[in-house]
Amino acid sequence: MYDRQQQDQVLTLFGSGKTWQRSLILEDQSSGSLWSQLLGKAMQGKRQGQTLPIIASVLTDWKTWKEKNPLTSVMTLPPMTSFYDNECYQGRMGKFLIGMRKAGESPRAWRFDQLINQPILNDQYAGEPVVVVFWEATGSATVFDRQMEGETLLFEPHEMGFTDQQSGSVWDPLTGVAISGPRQGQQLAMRTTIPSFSEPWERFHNDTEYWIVDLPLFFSSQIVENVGIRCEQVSRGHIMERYRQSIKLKTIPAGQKPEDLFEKRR
Amino acid sequence: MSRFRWYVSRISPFPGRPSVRLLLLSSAWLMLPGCGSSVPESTGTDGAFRPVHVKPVQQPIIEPPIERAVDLKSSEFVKDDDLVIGVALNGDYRAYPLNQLTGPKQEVINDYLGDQPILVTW
Repeated sequence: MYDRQQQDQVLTLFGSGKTWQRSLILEDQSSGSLWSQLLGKAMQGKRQGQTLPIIASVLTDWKTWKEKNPLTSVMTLPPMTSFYDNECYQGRMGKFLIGMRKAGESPRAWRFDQLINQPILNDQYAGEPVVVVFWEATGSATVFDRQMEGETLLFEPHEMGFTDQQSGSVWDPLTGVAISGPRQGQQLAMRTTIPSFSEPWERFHNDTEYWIVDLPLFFSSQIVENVGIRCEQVSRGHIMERYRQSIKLKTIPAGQKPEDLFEKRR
Repeated sequence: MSRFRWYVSRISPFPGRPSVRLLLLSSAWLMLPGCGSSVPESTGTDGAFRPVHVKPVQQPIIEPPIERAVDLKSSEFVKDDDLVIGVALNGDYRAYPLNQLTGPKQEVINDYLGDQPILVTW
């Protein structure tokens, strides 16, 4: 979702019929410049280097969206497929992610198969505290600022959404509005994010930092594998044995005192 | 440090001096099929911009048909479980069903939400 207002005019874009790295290239009607769909940036033509600002949007299902926003309108073009319903995540969680980028910072992405392990994640991006909220039933991931009135909030899961430790208010996962508690009616600032498939995201942002759920046991065995040591060799007993060999610990023969092991120098 | 090196040398499947091991290991990838001869494919934003023409040019879609949710009678256009991209701007709300944002002709939508010109694409 982009803002197509540039300083001088409102752009009208359309599919150019071209792709770059298997991702769509858009063309703007007035100058014929070519824009990358995922980067939102003009890659060729008169407007090369210009970017389209991102507008905050959420990916969710229609039932939830119209329940939260009863005044909503909806686009009514003929549907071309029926693939995208809330079942389409089943078995494909790893194929979806939510990404953020900021000039001068590495992009950050949270994959859905990781977020499912920690649906309310207190995180930090570009030095600013944010909370990533994942709602499995509707497949919606949203990112909100954790700063409110000079206070940095810490969030926890709650059956109605999520709750902050400071005041105990309950917040709505889709809109970031406090639905009950002392902060009722207040709204967390939503950050602009890009919902995407994992593959194209990886192709276009190959310096992305991925957030991965903390599973120390699994990852330590991965690291051990990566340096070429087989896991079964790194048992505690094995290391102790190697250690004893390496320091050449002498066993004390019968009838000798430990003190005799040390050379006496005069 | 030396103790660590000794430890690695004892359990390593590649015997010899560390420098010899490094030489063996560093050329091992040449033995993998398809490696060592081809130029690595450039990926990511550093790669040169080389668009490929794959399909016909689309007609621009400017201000698509929009209906209010309360007026929408049939589920012909969007079903309850369908995924939508929702946007809220200055008290205006609009949903764009993903099933409508695919296909050869309607992947790029130019629209206005209130006074704000927006571009929707999936």
